[in-house]
Amino acid sequence: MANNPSADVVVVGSGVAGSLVAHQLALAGASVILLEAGPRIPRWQIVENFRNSPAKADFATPYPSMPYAPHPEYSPPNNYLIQKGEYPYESQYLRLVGGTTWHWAAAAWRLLPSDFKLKTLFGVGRDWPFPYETLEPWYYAAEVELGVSGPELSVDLGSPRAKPYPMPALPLSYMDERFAQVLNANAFKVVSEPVARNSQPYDARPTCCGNNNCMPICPIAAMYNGIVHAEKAERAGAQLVPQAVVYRVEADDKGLISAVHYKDPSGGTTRVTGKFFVLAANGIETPKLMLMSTSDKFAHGVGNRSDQVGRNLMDHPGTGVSFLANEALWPGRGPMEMTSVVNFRDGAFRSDYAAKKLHLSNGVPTMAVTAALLQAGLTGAELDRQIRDRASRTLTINSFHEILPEPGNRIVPSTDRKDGLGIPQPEIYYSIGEYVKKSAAHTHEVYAQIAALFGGTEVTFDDRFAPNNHIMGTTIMGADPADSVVDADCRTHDHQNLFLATSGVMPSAASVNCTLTIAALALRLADKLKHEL
Amino acid sequence: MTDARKGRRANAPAAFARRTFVLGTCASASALLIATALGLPFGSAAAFAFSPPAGGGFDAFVALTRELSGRSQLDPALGKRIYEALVKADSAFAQNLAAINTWLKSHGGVPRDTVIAALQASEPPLAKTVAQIMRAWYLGLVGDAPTVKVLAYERALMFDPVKDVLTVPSYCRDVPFYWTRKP
Repeated sequence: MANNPSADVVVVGSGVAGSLVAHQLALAGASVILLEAGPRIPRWQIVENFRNSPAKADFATPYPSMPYAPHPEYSPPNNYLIQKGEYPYESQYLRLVGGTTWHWAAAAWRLLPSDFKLKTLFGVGRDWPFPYETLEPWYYAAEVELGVSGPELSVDLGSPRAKPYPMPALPLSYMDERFAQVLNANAFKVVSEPVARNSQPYDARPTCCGNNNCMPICPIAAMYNGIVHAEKAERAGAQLVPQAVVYRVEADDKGLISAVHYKDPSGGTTRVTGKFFVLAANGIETPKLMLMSTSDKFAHGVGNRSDQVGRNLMDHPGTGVSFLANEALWPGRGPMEMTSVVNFRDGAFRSDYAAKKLHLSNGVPTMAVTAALLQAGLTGAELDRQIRDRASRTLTINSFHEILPEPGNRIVPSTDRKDGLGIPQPEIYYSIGEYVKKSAAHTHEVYAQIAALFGGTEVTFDDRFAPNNHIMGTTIMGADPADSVVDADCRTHDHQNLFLATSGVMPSAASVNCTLTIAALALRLADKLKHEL
Repeated sequence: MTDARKGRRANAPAAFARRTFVLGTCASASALLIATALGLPFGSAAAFAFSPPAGGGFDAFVALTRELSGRSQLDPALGKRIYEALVKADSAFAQNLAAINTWLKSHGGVPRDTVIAALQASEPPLAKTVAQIMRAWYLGLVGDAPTVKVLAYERALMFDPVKDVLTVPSYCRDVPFYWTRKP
């Protein structure tokens, strides 16, 4: 790195959003610097880390948290996120080159048209400043970039599309096929999930061969990870700097951003100047950085005239169920997730309680089944017999509930707890209200109904709200600068040259994974920037 | 970003792993059924020919593991690693191992499926040692948090009973789309 690095576009964060922006702008001929707080870890090392992990059910363990750029760890807990609210927000995210999509189920859903106008249609939450139709071409562009396989056009997923998916859907596992058959015959709607996972060779990556390890690491890159575009951005000429922890965004008195400042792992500082700045450091680190960046002119942090930076924190509170089906269905063959129940994603009920999506796990259950049997004290041939029997019949279903944006749910930089570089840790205030709880009570009934359809025994409900690591809302988008942080182009209302590429901008959480929406917004933002360079 | 084995907080076991099992009685009942079906007097099916070397050495460990896992063949290199790790992790391990073998010889009637439950009543420390041995072979883990050691993954015995159907996660077991077939 030169002593006074400078570029047309400076991007902070090399996950799917930042890397897509960096790649697009480098292709357009701009000089681009891409700053990443975490280290660069090669795929093979992550696979080795997984195989050597004593806590394999914790998908973050192959990605060690660094003292200079910590991320939340739970096995054992490192207490990086400081929980101050009514309900813990025990989210995971990763800080390394490529970002958090190193581990995900690759679910690449579009939002529904109604998800864009919650306030207008149901009188709750917020509207987006534009309709679904505005994002439709960008959804498609994102599907092409990430490589999404999905059902054919005749299957209605509720989100109208102009063109077919870039790849056909992966054929379902025997279990998923049976699940869809049984539920669809009983007034449910089960569909093949659109996924950023190859059903044929695509973008120089292979077809999925069912390693069943999407989380925490696809060993063969058949599943999309943000690292794909981080590396493409580099090949297109962007300069990627790992271990560069941005701790301050500098604004001049006219309100333009003039530089960002980062620390290296030993604490040395560098100032990076540019024409445009894009913060793409997820829904927690992005608002934290903005709130930390105070000055005389911007006493409450950059982009924070509305006092909304860090507020409206959302996720998809999840509940689950598992049971033994009365037939051998054998979960665990193929990728880890293939189908979803989608008939609760929309409806008039949304004025009263949350939309949701349910999804059947296709993860290999061997380890969890064995651990439970060992815990129960089984030995001998009976242990082997029960491992086989239970592995063949254990079905697990989880859910995402839509939560509404509430200003009181928020992240702020801690005033007393600091990381290894002296940078404040995130402090979180979170609660889950009746809108979600009422829906979850209904979900519980639905779970019981599904279990009954399979003659389920040992039906075990998990009604606690689990985090799903879909961090949204904290730099919320809106038409009115008085109550939102960015405009329809993801440009901050307060700073002409500061853009945000993160799920933090989403005004509604809806009931599906947010990655495809992040990617679509990032590509749209990049296109805007190309015209302003 | 999650799903599948998913969404649960990292340190929270999956719903089905948190269930309380009551297996002792039904396990011994089924062992009784198996023994009866084979035309053997109850207890003799597993018990005859168990003559482990005395003491708490490696050979005694192998003999006990065969008994507890119902297997005549075990990976010797992995066995050595597990034995050494268990000895290192627990200073009473060798002594307990010898005591378990002695106990098993004198309790031939106890089905091998219910050894832990039987020991739990009279010799709780020995029940714990049996559980440690099973965990090491089946899950590949030795020691307690935060210093759990991973001694095995793809060769951990848990994968054996399902190896004709399910992959060891992170490995590819067949051609793409094999999963559409009914197992």
